[in-house]
Amino acid sequence: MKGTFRQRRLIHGSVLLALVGLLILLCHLLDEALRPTAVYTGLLLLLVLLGLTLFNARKKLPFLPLLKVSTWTQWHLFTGFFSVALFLLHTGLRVPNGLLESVLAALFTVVALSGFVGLFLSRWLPSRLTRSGEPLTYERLPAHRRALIEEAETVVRRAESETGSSAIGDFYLATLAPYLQGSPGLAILLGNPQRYERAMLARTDEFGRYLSERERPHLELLRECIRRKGLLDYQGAAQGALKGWLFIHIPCTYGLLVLAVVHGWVALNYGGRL
Amino acid sequence: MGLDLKRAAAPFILRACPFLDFRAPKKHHVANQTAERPQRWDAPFDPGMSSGVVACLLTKEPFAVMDAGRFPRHLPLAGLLQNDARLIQCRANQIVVREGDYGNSAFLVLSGSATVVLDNLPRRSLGRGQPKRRSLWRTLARALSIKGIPERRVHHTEREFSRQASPGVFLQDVPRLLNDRRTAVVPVGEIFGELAALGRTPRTATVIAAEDGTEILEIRWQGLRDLMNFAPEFNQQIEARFRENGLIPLLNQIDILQRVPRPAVTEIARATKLERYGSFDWYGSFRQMREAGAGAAALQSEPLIQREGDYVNGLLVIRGGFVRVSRLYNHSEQTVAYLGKGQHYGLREILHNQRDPSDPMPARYSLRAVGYVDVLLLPTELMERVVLPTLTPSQIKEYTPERERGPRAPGAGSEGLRRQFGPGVLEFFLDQRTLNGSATMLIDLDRCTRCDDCVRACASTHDGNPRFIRQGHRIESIQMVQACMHCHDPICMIPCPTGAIHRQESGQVVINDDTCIGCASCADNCPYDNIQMVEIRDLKGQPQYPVAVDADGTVVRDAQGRLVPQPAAGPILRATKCDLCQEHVGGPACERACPHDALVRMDMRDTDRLASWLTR
Repeated sequence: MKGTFRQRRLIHGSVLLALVGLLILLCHLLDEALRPTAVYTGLLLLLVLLGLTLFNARKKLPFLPLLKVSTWTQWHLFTGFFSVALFLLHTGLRVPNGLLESVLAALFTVVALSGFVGLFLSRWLPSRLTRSGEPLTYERLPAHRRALIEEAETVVRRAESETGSSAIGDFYLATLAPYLQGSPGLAILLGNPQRYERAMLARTDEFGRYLSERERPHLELLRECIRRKGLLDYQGAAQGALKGWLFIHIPCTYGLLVLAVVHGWVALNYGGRL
Repeated sequence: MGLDLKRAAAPFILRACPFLDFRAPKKHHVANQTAERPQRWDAPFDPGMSSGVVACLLTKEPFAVMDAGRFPRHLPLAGLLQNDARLIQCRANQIVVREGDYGNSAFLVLSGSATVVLDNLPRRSLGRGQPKRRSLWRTLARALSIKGIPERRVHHTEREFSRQASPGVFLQDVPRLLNDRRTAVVPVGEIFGELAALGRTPRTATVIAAEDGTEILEIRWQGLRDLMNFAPEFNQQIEARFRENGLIPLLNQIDILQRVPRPAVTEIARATKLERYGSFDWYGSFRQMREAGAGAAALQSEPLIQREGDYVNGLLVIRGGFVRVSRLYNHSEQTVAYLGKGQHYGLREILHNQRDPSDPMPARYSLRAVGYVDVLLLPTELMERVVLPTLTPSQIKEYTPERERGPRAPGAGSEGLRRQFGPGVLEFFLDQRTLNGSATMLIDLDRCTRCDDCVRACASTHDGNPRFIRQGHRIESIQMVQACMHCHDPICMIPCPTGAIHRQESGQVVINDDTCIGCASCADNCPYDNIQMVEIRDLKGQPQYPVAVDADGTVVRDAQGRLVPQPAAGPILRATKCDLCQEHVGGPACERACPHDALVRMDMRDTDRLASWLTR
């Protein structure tokens, strides 16, 4: 087994810093020699973007013996960082003023930022997901939700028939049903993920003081439903976030590539280099 | 291997017992058979084995000297021969046993003779070419042709030809091949192949029939085991053969015996005790235990090999299976390591006791058999007199008791695991028998983003059919995924009636789809539930059903020449499981597809690599 992840990060990070340093030095030398530095950095950036896009193609062809995808991921990550440095050198830290350049810069920013967010999420969320409880398959979460609601409604109906009181049913309709049927979405990932569940449990406890001894066991079953809903919400939000960022990153990448080619053609053509 | 099976009575038997009617209808010796539950002998090894042949076999050695009265009523000697043995007739130079193959049976020469080739033969001469791998273009073309039909196969009736009995593999150009190689003759009455059958290990030598008409009785391991259990003289014969042929090479492989002179190794071989612990078919009780979630009680049910605090009688060398190393902790025992094949225990104590006899060191750990364990015990006296003087200073330093580092054999790996995860992870691996896996799929859930790229990669390399489910038991952040582990002891292979599930030379356990009859015996036998039975479809996506056949086995066609499916018989099933992407150049697609280094296929005996992976 190779070294630790820390060692790998250290080596790759050092190589990246060295390359960025070399790039800055090269750009400086090119500027000194009055060479068209922006053209060179632009072409290099286009090549790097194409290389980065190949990562997705590799993932679609898992049966081909083209190195492990994790190796490609490392290449993608550190080349991505490098592309940001290259982009900054290419633009000279200037804010673009033309429409094409503005859209291009905005797309690059979105792609880069979504990439950073994706990297952060893929390192931050898995361990939290693991510790949140029983692992659930994302595609089966809606089915789990439906089953949970059915179970809660069965508890309510049984409570009514066994106790002859509609108090639990009323509480369910007014308070629990919206909670069980709704979802806090990605907000659950920010702050304490159990805050919604705890708030609902607190309201359930407050309501419990008005119940008879015969009604309380039914409320306890509803409390269990609330706990499970908390797990479903967290798993849904975390797994959704882990998949969702790609729906921004990938389409924007293709848009970026197309506009980058157009930009290159325009720059070279109208710069008299074609 | 495709031996030329002669299901009719063999000429030797006819010559020996001319008065017997060999066409007598077959009767199974099954006591108290009920219609509801399948019995062991419902599927005899050879349905054509007649009682006449059995009667004749009982007059021949070694069966003639066995006391039939020792056998229990439900496992009579004649029943064992009728249901767990078959006759095979070979032509000269036909390969009976091929080195490197895994086999579940032993062989007894009835007439003619066989030749054991003691030195390795070229792969090609054994009919063993390079494993078939798909080319890049074929892989691409196959991937592009996936039509979304699950478990698509050529219709089973179109594949009949491939199921015909193979004429067998013959060794070609024998004089040249055997000219510079050592050989030995197996005469009539000698048994061979029993070591590999009982240990579920690869065959170590190739055996060919020496002359035309050589008749051999093949006994599957279940029968062999029972013969050994109930016929002590037969057991002694097998053990004597092991001492003669198998033990010295085994001893020569042990690290601390490397410098022991050859005559001394022979002396050790004579004095070594062969011990077996646990049940050979441990998987049934393991399933029950796992379902019951036995935990600490499971540990107590494991047979004790060495008790903590007892005197160490000798060096314990693990010949097969796995051993749990534990120590007393409060009211129970805490697992500290496990030992596998070739590893040993006790040297540290023996070294100490030789140096300081006035203050003897007892066994510092208990050793228990996990499943089925074969152990060699090299007596302490012999160790002190013969082995210890040959140890190098570095070996002595490594095993010096003052260096308190736990048992030597598991090495740093187990220690790393315990330090990082506490003892629970070792208990888990042992309780779940995960350590049986040579390619166990482990997922580090702290790195896994649940993207399912592994499952998709598996599907795209298997024509759209994933061969595992991303779920399974977990301990802390490690998930043991439900994918075939390619066990060191692949008990799924044992009941397969056609040999469709087999082990390749490289150790992978794979299913030959052409010869799988969908009986589900492998799936039922897998204690980890890692083999799935699937309904197969034809190339148009229609379910495949058995087709009508007439009395002589010919496929029946209707007036339009079409096959007549029998849906009432239920769809045709095939066993499927992970094949480690054996046809693909790059290795397991699941592991290669993981973008975050979260998934690994791990040989669980390699604790150093396991610890290194877990503590990255």
